[in-house]
Amino acid sequence: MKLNVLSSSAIAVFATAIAGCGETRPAPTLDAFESTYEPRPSPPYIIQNVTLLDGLGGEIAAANLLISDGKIAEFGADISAPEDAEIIDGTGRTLTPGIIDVHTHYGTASLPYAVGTPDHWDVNEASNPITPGVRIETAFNPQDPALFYALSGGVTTFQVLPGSRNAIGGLGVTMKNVPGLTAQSMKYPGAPYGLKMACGENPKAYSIESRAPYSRMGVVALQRQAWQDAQDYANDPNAPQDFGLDVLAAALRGEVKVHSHCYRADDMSVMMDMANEFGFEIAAFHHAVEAYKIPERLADEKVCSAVWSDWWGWKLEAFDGIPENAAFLHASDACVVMHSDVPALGGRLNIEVAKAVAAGRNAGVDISLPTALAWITSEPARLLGIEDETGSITIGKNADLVLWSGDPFSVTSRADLVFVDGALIYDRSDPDRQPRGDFMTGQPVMDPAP
Amino acid sequence: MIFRAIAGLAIFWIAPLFAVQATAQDLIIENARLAYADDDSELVKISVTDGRITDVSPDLTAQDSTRRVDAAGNFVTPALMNSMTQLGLIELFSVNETRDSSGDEHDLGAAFDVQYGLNENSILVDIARQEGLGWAVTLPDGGNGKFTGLGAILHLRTDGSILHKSHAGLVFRSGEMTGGSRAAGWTALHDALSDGDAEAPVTEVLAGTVPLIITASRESDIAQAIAIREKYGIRIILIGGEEAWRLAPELAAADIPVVLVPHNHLPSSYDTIGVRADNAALLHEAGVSIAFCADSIFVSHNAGNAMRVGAGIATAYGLDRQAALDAMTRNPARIWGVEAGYGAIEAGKSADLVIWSGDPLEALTQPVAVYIAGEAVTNASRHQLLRETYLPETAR
Repeated sequence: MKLNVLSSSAIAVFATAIAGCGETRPAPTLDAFESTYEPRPSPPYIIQNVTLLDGLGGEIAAANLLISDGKIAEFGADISAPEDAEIIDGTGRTLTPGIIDVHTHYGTASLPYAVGTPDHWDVNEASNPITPGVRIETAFNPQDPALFYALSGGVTTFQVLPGSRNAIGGLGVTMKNVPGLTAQSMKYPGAPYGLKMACGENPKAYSIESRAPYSRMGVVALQRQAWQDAQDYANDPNAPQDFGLDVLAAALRGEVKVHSHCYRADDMSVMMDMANEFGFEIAAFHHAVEAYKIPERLADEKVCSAVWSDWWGWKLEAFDGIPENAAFLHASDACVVMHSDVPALGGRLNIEVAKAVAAGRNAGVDISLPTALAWITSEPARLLGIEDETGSITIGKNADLVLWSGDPFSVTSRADLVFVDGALIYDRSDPDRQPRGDFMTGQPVMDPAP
Repeated sequence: MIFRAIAGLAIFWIAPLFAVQATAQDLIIENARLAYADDDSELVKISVTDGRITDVSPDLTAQDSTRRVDAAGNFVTPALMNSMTQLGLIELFSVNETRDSSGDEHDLGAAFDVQYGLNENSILVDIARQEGLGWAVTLPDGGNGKFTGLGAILHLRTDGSILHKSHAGLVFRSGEMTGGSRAAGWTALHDALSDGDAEAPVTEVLAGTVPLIITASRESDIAQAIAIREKYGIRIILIGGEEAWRLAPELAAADIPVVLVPHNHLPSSYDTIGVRADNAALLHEAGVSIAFCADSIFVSHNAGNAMRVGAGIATAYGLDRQAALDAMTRNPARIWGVEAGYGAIEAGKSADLVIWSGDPLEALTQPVAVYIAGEAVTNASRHQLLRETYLPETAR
């Protein structure tokens, strides 16, 4: 997607210069609710004799890997462990990067679901279909039990997005899956924000309450007007500060990743045209059940598809979903990411990959499992703009790692150990390293933890 | 059926392992590995005549007159049975015009009977067959605290009606409500069962000809279901059972089978806060007969695959893999009273068979061939036709 680089950076320079005179609104920034995350202290670890899948398509048998200072210090066949390193026997087990989930509602659609009350639900700010100024991090409940199930399934990093009720739904946030008491204490330092947009049936559901938008036409018209307003705002340094327009203007400058919930191929096409018209980049279409119909355009425009393995048919715009979606996109050199959206999948994204690979093989698209592992590791890292720090087993990257009891694509395997920044956050054999959160405290589930 | 009209298109998709002769009545599947026989046990030959299994033996002598299929040492199982779906009653959840699963708006209560709304041409049925499903129980849904009606047993055969048996059970839904109290629902159920002048489906339950299907998740509701069983002596099938592990010995003693989502491990509702991933394993160990289904979006739309992979996941939490397979074949056959014709690979049973590409509980495994009542299931479904239309150049 072509970003109108020249004009948007010129606008930014101009706006900054004017703002510096103190006559107009302050320089635009999205900084707020700063991250207070601190990596947990950790000793050096050496994992020995393990099958290593690097998240970039590579596989090394009988590998050793050294974690030091929270980073992946070294890996390969011959590594000498420092004397103070804790030794972990990886025999028969598999080491992968930590799983990264780009689409969750953790902490905002908190378990248990309760439909009779809004108490559990902070997903959509449904006061207006255009709410770019709202931030999901201001609603995040770190006691959501789903977080801990995701951790036990190997998820080390996740993005929380606003829901799809609004045509422009607000800012998401990327988080580290470590237990915390606040959103800020889990917020991934330096990760760019994501902006949620939505196509189709969900935003037009305002019509059920006799409010606009009533149709796809209305959804798109509202979105175009919002982007036009953002351009005008960026061009007018004297306009009063508007937090929502600050967000859209930042997206026009390429500083915010745009994530759009879209199912139908025609919806995605309209959205890509809109992005080109106003000069913002779409990072990914989420759900994208018809992405397999337009893989070439998605590849050309460098837009990712964040998909489920096989959901289909619960609504009209999902009617054409097929389980080969991910495999067909991959075969056409389009970017694929597997996402969860719901906790039931969030702890089992490895199995989602297995299902998608199986469907591809059945259709004659043979994708290796180490390659497909990228769909839940290195590719989502790139999509979230944190690929220099995490998402693959690469020397110098954060030691966000999962040690699986066996083949991670077998239903019989479990995550044995989960590391975030080199710290052991989850240990299947140690109840003291199985965080559950305060909501589940005293509830009628007896040990062992899930 | 849709797939009949477009069967020609399906040739593209037929796996090279075998050749299909769609009109053949007889069949021999050779080199079949029964799941889960010991690794060193002999492969078998499964003979089929007129849609029924006539012989299962290690004898590999070929018979010229029949269609022969080489399973090549792959696992063969009975086609699977899903014990709670709305197959044939729902096409699209969000499109009310395609939903016939609830009688709530008609105040029919126990008299609501899904058989009259069954759509045998549902595209979901084609997809379910391709996923290896041969049997399904299709049940009414609706609000909690009352009877929601009579379910049916489906045999997903391609050569006749899929409605195998109506009045498969009368559903009473207990559990959490968004208004009122679950206590009122149990009171109403006791009233109905005590009523000397009960309406027709309830009299069938009291007479023992129709089981009472109780959906219950929380321990307190499961305990109420056990109390109903003890007080009235009627057959009860429990569906849901997320906290059933807490009453496993009592359920076993009361001979109440439990239909559950095998991979369920999340406290998704207040009623299921006590759910455990090893629920299926704990129930099985206590001697409770368990059968499986899928949940949420998967209930009917991925009724085969979601249940099968979920059963596999249950084995990661202690369930024996034979028990996991039985919960999709042998156990539901008994629970739903169709064990005379289904549930095992043995002479006399309907030839409902799946040849799998690998371990039938693995996500990476797919059906290689599916037979229902001896007929090969073609690969023509709406899914398959879409995938053919949009197959990438590199895979053509």
